[in-house]
Amino acid sequence: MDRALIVEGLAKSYPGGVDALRGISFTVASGEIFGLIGPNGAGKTTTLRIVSTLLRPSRGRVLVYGVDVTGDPLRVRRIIAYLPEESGAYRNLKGVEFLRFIARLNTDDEAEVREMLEYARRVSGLGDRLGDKVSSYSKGMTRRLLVGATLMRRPRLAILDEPTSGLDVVNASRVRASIKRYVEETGAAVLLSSHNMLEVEYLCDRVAILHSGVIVALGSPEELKERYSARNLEEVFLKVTGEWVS
Amino acid sequence: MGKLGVIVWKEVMDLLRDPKFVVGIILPILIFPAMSAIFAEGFRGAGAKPCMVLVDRDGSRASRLYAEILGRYADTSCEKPDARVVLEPGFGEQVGEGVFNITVYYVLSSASIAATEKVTLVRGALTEAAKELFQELVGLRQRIVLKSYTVYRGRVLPLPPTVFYGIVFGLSNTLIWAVFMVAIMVFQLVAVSIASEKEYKTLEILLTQPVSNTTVLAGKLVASILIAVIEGAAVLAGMAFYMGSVMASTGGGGRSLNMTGDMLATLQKAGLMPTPLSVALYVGLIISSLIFVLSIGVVVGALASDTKSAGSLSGVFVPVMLIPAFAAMFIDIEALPLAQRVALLLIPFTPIFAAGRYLVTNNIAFLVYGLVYTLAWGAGLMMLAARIYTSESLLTFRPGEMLERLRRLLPH
Repeated sequence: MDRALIVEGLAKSYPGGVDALRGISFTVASGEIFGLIGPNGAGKTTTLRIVSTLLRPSRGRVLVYGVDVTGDPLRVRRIIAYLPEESGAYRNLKGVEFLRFIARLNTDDEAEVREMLEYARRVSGLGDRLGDKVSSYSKGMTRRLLVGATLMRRPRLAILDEPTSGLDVVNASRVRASIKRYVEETGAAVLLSSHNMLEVEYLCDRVAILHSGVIVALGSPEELKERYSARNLEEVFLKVTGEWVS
Repeated sequence: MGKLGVIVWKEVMDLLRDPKFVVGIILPILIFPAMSAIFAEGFRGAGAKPCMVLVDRDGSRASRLYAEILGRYADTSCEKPDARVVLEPGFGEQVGEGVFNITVYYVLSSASIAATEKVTLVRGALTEAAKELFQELVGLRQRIVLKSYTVYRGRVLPLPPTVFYGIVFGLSNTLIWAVFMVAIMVFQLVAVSIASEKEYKTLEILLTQPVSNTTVLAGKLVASILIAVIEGAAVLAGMAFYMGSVMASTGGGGRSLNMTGDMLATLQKAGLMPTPLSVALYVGLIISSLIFVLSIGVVVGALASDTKSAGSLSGVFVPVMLIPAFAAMFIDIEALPLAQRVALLLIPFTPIFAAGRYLVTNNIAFLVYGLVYTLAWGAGLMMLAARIYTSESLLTFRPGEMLERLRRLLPH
């Protein structure tokens, strides 16, 4: 199986001396959905931002399909698509214009642009509302638009930070199904972060639990539950982070 | 469409649909005609014959004749006079001695320019009538020939100083206003465009697209210049309409509409047309100044956390631009004492504003200085802006935290 992502000894210190990551290592295979979970401030978003070429690591290296994120970030950006946790779309553009803008940044072929738009229309489920300005969208509709914009690029590695953040039960379930279907159809890898343990358990093949910039547990949800004698991933999380009260 | 074109398209669409910028384009087109309508109302009748009441306390032949002549230059039977003219006893005798002595009470209907325009008309009518009176009574034929030339920088120009100054002032001030407005708009547009990416959380998605940060930044800069030029053109068109209307309502007819053409013709006649070299230097100066202004906009946008703070930070730079702009409009910077001249020339905005005048007068030395100085500032700041406009800086720079750290360093 291809190594979609290799993270080796990754560390990141911010100005002011905050050590967000203290040397983490993990790999993600093609066709795998890999979950990063951990309490707030554990370093999840920093990890995702480094893999997405937004931040430079202080130490260690990150390879996306063999391409170093610091060595050739532009090439990495052609392989990945990043959906940040707190993200929006251009309020003065219509939904379809926003999608077309993202599509045209990724391809010069108008036929491909049309294909991308059709795919995003299906994934977002926004239908005719794509013809309305983004400023008229609810938070959930904007999130669905962004999920569509992320997956329509057909990334070989999708980096999703809280993909169902702000969505109601129906829409969250729909987005999860889209992610799963996308991986099955394309064989792409997904690096995902979420606070929703049910979501992680449902979607992820393997999970890393980050705590204070260090990976404290790594394995499939089943392995982790067995290793920590837990009934579910939430219990594993609480035990690993030392917050478990029996 | 290349990637740069895609980004420019997005920026233009996003900005043009922002009500703030739409208002910026539409408002001048609406406001200036409205202002000119008000102005025209204020000047209504200013160009007509002045209205005067003449009180003849002398009753001599000369005073009666003057009243008759004045009737040709002014309306002396109106109800609301602009002036009361009194011919005191002895008026006729004084005229015989070559002295014209009258008393005038000006009646101002308001404390406005329109009212002072009436004063000028009254004085003109009284003077013309007086000349005619002397011709009739004394047979005195006056013929004054006054040829005026202007010597500027060692060159003798065949036009009076007032005309020369009017041409240079008019042309250079038009350029100063145009540059000032475009500069302010470009600056604000870039700052707001960058800050809005943070405010609306679109920055991370944009910077993870397969496009270099330089292309993203270039797209924002090009779009900002395009919008600023559109807005600047709207303001200038409004101003041109306004000035045209004002000149027409004050008796200037349609002359002002051809003012630039007339000016250029006069300049050409006087051998004062900008040379290709001075025009090239001026264009270079505009480009380097735009780079400079854009760079400040990028830095401000990167420092700001949202569009509101970008707007506030932009406001800080307006007075810094206003000082050299006003200085360039009303004084000759080269005529200032050395210390003041140096202080003014050190402001990087000064060359572009002052260059409007020096383009017209072909001051190559100043244009070269302005180009080099602004280019140095522009290049330096653009390098700084490019360093700041990286995802690492934009995502991790916290002005609040930096200020807090500085505060901690200060002694209690």
